[in-house]
Amino acid sequence: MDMDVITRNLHFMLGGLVLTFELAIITLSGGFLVGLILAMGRLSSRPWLYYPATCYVHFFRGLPLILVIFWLYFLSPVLTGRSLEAFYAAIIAFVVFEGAYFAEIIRAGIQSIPRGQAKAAYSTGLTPFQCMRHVILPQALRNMIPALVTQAVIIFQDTSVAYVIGLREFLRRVNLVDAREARSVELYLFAGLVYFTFCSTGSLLSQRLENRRQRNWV
Amino acid sequence: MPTRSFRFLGAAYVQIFRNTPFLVQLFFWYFAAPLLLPRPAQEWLYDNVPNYAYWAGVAALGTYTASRVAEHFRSGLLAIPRDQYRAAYSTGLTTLQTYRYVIAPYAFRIIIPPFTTEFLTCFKNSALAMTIGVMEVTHTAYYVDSFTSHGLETTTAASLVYLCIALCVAFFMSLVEKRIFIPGMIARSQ
Repeated sequence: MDMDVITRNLHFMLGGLVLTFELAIITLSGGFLVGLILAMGRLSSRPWLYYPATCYVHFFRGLPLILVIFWLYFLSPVLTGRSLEAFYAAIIAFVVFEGAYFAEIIRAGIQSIPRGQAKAAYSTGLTPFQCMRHVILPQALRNMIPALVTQAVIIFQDTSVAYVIGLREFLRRVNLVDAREARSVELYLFAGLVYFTFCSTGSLLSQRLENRRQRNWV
Repeated sequence: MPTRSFRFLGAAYVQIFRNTPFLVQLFFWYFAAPLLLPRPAQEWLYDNVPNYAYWAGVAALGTYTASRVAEHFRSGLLAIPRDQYRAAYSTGLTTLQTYRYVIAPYAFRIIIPPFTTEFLTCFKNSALAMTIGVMEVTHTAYYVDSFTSHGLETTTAASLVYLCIALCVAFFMSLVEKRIFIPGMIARSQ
């Protein structure tokens, strides 16, 4: 074991971690918004909203993330006439892909709210939008926080897939250092450890929140 | 049986494999794992296993999926009421018999829906094996594009392959679920 290789390249590799976090945070917020819109469509009784949203969710949940990135990579020159920058290609692909997963989490969260809540809201004269905005969503969001934290951990791991289009995030940089230093064992164990530290913190947090939610339930 | 150490080992395995990206694990198996072997084993590997990338992919996908399947099994076993265990023991069944004849037939049927999802996830994860040069569907699509420049068509074809598999598996498993449905249990919603 040669730990020196890690300390020597620490600065370079941790620089990639910044990009990893940037990708994860943008994807998290963008994907949540897309998911929210899709979840509304999935719960709508209007067929012209329900079917497109359902098809979207099933379509993207059936594809590997890497393929979605390739789609964008090949589709963007056809649509816009020029190729997209790797960073934006990754962001768009992640948001589009994770949106489908967020949609299912949000839908399950909304469906966990008793029907009486919506009925009570309507009977006080709230519009459907107000009912969703002030009554259903605040309760549903609180219920789905553990699932959302788990999804955030998954997104953090998924950002490593941006590796394939040459984005210099954490894993790509570890890979580049390995190409120069040929110290695979140390470097990939280090990469695993770094991801593990952040992800297990997230997983533990999610577990805590879930336990607390179940305690408060009754 | 040293239950505590077993429990610790199982928990550690699941935590490690679930909390690191699959891509890192894949790279570990492909680039780093051979270096951990003793010298003669390394040489044997390089001489006799021409498609090592494939086996690294299999190892990575297998160990990763195992950690996720373990969680499904655990939740399935936890979903069985404690009374079932007590009733089985009180009729004089041994631990092995309890699991074999009472618990497993229940638990295995409960976990079929999450298992189906897991199977499809495993399928989708296999696409990442292209990063270490395994010629699976996604890599083939990319490869064909590299000398025909018809990326859009090849990517569409690859997507259709994945979607067809997903649909077929989902349809087949819905038949299986209906066949082995446990009477008296609340059917899966949606």
